[in-house]
Amino acid sequence: MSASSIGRPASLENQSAVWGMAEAEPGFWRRYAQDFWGMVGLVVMVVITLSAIFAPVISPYDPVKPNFGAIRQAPNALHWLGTDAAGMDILSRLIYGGQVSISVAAVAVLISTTLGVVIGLVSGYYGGWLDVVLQRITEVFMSVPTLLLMIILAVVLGPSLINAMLVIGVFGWTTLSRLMRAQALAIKEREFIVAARAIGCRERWIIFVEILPNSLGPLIVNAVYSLRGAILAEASLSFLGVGVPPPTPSWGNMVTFATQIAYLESMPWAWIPPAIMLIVVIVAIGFVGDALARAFRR
Amino acid sequence: MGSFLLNRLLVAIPTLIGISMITFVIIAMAPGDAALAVMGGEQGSGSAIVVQEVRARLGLDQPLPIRYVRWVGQVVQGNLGRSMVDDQPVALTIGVNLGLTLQLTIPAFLIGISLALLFGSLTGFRPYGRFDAVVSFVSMILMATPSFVLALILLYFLAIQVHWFPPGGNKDMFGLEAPTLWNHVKYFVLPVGTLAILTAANVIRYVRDSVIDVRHEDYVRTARAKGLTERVVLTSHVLRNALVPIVTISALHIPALVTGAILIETVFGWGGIGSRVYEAISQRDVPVIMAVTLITGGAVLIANLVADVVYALVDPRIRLN
Repeated sequence: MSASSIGRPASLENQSAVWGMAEAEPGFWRRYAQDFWGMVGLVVMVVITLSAIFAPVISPYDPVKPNFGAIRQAPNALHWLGTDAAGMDILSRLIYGGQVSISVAAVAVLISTTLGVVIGLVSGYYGGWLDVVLQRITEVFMSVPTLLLMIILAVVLGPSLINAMLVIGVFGWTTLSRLMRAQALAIKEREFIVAARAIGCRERWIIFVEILPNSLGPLIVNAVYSLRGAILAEASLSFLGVGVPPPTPSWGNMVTFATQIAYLESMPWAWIPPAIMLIVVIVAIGFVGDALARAFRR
Repeated sequence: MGSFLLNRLLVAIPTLIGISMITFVIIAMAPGDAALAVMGGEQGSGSAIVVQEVRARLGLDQPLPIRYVRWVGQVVQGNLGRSMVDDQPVALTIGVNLGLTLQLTIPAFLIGISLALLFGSLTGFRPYGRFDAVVSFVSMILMATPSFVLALILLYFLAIQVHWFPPGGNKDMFGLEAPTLWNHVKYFVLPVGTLAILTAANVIRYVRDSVIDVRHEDYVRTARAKGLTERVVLTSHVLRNALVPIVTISALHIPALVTGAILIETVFGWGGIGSRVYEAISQRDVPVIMAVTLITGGAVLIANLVADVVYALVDPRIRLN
């Protein structure tokens, strides 16, 4: 090791064995850029995220302000996607709905990633009875249909934006924890870890400053895939009425409309756009995740 | 084989216990008094003594662990409690819902896996062609479609725009239709179809990858060299060996079936366990919620057990381990 690497977290020489930090892999972004669909997905995500951030700027109307003089209008010059039963402009609700859906998914993934990383790394590194207990708990969570538990918890806590983030985050950590545990098990006997222990580094430091950065590859890919699941979960919960409560628009609760046959039939412009957006976003994230996985692998 | 099964069963039981504990605790955390909810939900709707009575009768005044243990004791005797809403024994009424859900999920699962096997092996055998591109593209879009979205789209185009199928329900509610086979089956087509299509879309990628991996193996070349027809090569050599990851994925997909069932049942008004548990949750009907969660968890565990058995049948190495 050269002098410049003293004091920084070590990375492994043999990078084909463990996925290293993005910065440690020259040409990572170049490899990513070669993946056409990955770039498409990235562009789509950037566009949607920007429109979510700038929602107040670009949306033509206030999404939650009813306008009973203009209810149930088909798409026209004033309202490009028409209006719903309370006269709220669908396009504005779509844009703000994106903001809501994406922020719920992002925060939920933040929560579940933190949980997964901590549980997985601790379980793998310390081993012993702690590992056994944590693994049993993980198995229980993995074998339950998560939507059911999410629904129960969401109803108990009451439907709200924050509760939706919490509920989805709390049940989404299992795959990541398995992954991180495998990483911890693989790395903890390597020489640089043994060396760190020998010179007296604290265990917590070892886990989070030595092992974690070397596991960033699978972590990031997994986080991107769980974003898909989170968006799906938020849409499902909001669709059932236990996620984001109306009038706050979310793509999920805009689709709830369609469960009433009258609206399904007569107002397709009210529920088809959010449905399409859901599909588009989930597909785009999938592309990004696949491209990331491929770029990390080499 | 017997000890393998016993082993898997023993692992399943603590998992079931864990599931029931988590659910029980979550529900017990609910703000709002269940006794009041049962009585009609108003704060001043009954004197404090009556509320106390109701609470005691429902067993709600005991500490949490005791309530859990009492509940477990009842379940083991086959008593799933009485619904807090209509005071009917849950074990009785839930049978109908369970039956309907099984009529939805089992055919959907079988059809979906069959579709995935069919298209997966077809595209896996001749990958990167036009057929493969179309199938892969379609399945990718379908994989990203939430189940309720697909259900609504099919409902919209096939039941509303053209009246090929009824817009919901699981049977003829008013006795207005002639009792032909089609009139009975037509209610099943859209819900089962939706779930089957989604299942197929999720599994097909793994079938395809598995077939692609396997078909380069030496034993395939040997089989062809021996002069076996393509069909025999495909079924008894390629598919046989590609089956292990396929079984894994199918088993992993089973909880998704349950989830999909909940959403699809809501869209079609199917009246199965999904619809039932949703009502129960909004009414805080604890015995029903617990029963449904238990049944669902149990069903998933049983399905995984069956998957393990199929695993052991397909790959003798697992059996003998």
